[in-house]
Amino acid sequence: MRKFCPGWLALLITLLPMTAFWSGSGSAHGLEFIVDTTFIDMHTGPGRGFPKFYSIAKGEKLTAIKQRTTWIKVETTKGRTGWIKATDLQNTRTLNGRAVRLP
Amino acid sequence: MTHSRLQFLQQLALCALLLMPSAFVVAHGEDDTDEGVVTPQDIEREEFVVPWIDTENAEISIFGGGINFDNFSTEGSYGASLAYHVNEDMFLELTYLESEVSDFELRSLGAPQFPSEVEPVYYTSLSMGMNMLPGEIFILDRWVLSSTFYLIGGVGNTDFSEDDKFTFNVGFGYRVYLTDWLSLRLEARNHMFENTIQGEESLRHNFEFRLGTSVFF
Repeated sequence: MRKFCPGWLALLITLLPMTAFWSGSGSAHGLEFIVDTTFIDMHTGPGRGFPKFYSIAKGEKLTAIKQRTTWIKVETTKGRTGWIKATDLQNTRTLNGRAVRLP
Repeated sequence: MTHSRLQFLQQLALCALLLMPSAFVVAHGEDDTDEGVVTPQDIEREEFVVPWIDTENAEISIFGGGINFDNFSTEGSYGASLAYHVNEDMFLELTYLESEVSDFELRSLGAPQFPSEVEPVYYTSLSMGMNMLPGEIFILDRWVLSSTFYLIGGVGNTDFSEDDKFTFNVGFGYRVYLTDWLSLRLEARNHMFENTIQGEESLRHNFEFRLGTSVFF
């Protein structure tokens, strides 16, 4: 019979955020794109229900940081960070002018 | 006008009518040179890239809280879960939970239910969650945190007192994103299974509250 021991829970609660810092540090590198449509809406979170708070204008450069389900976290050169629909990335071009397609 | 002259004019008009379509075809044919014909070699194929972007659809959580076992005791509980977010609305979650249950009251009345007064409880489940009501919470004027409410339910197994109980669970939770990859979760669930106590078998409702933290990776 196993002994009820909440001690390891306290240990995990301490360690878990540390592992997260490690995983978060790897997300700084991304791919760069230039908006090739009128604008792309940026949301506060990875979902259609999260508020739109910024429109990335045509010609503005953005960096893709990571993807969660069908949303991509991006950062613009103006320092705005938020989430765009993954399909919106097809309305951008790479810095050397190539079109972008999703897998 | 003589008859022969009229006949000549008629023949001339007839010839003109006959020649007109062929002239049109010739003229049209002159336009239909290589410029008009689209061949596969003429199509400019646009080069495109398929970017590889790091995905964070999995989530690992640890949590602690309390659970009330119907007809028995209320005890502390703790556990861990692993979730996969299928899309922005739905996620699947495996949960492992440990607790203990005591039959102190029934035992003091001379009707012990378990071999010992306190028995460990191990619980596993597979559940499906639905994200709803996404939004933001504002803390003073300084911080804005994304949040979402979710409903969750599934099936699993409760192992206690050397017995396995097929268990349904339904519940709801509230998730606050401290960062994009770290969230706090407050959750309430009802774990339901059939149990026989003093000869009476019925569906037992075991309510659990938990507070946990999760990391997306």
